[in-house]
Amino acid sequence: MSGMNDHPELQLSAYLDEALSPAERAAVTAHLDGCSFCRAHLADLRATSRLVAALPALLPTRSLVPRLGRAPVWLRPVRLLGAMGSGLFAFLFIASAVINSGSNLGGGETTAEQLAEKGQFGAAVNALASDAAAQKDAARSAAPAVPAPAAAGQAPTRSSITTSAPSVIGVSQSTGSGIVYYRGTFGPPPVVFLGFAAFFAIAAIVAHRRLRRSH
Amino acid sequence: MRDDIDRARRGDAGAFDSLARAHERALYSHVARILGPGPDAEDVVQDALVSAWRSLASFEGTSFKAWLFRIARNRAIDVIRAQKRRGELPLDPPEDPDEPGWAEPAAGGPELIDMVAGAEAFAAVEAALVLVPVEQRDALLLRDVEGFSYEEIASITVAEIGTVKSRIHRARVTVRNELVRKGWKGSAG
Repeated sequence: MSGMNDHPELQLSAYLDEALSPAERAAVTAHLDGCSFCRAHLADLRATSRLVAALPALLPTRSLVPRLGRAPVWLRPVRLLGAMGSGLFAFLFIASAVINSGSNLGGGETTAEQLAEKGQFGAAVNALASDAAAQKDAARSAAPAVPAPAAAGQAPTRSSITTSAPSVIGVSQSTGSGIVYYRGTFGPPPVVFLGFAAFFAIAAIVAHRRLRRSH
Repeated sequence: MRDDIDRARRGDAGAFDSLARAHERALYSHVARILGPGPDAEDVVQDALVSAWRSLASFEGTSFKAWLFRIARNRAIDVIRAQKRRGELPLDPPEDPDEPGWAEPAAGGPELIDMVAGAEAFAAVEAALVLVPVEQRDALLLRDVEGFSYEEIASITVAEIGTVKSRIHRARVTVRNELVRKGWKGSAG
């Protein structure tokens, strides 16, 4: 065993924990009787050990115990549909936001030509159909010799109409130039799509977590 | 407890549930001090409990708690190794075969042993533990917090007894030195 100047420092923790063999323990005890240096080290190690032992436990934020038994059979389809639905509605949200922001350029009015250039052919056709109907109405109203008093204060080539086409909110036109002013939207407001996307995402996450906790 | 283990091994989910609840917090507390508190540590414990249920038939030891800690601790170490491979964590330096240094305390600090009940001391010890290499921290916590014997720690960590002794001692010296660097003069005063 070590002499008085050969401190058994590496054995002090095991001594403290009573993890030495009887012979090793006896030798360390004998050394400690005559070595204040090692006694001081042992006291520090004991204090450190007590500090670590007294640490308050860290607590989880949720139960970590698995739910044993098979998960309900409908949980996997719910997770799949939730993920797919979330992706679909997120796409629709982005698409509607982009389309609606595009149709609102220039103060919210867009010509049929501009719509066609942007690939919104359905909206452009609607606008042109409204234009043609408006031209017929204008021709009928122009037949009487005396113009209507209400039109007297307006520019001679402008008239206003409204239409019941579902994607057209008010159409005004200039029949002389053939320019159609048009304001269109794509389906419901984008925030509705966003709400559905969030709903499906939450459903998918809940189903996923439930499946993870299951046997 | 032994009765619950026997019933759980026969497939009694209720018995395993009560066993898992008895050890859930201790497992999380240990894993959280290895990985850091949060969702990663929670996922590791949850996965470990699911794994324990699935492999319960293979449990033949005498200590169910040690068996659970072995599963959870191994998963936590796997997560750390993966994080190091991805460069998210720095690599531990190789273990120094020499004896660890012994920081000299400054005069005038409080007695280390008087700090045991202080919340300030707990925060300092938690901060010091983070500086201890993972394998040493793991062994120290298994000993001082969970009260496992050196033989059980050797089994849980799949290491030799001599390695366990060395890791525990080095971890204690590192924590003690960090506390001394924060102004405590230690018991040697």
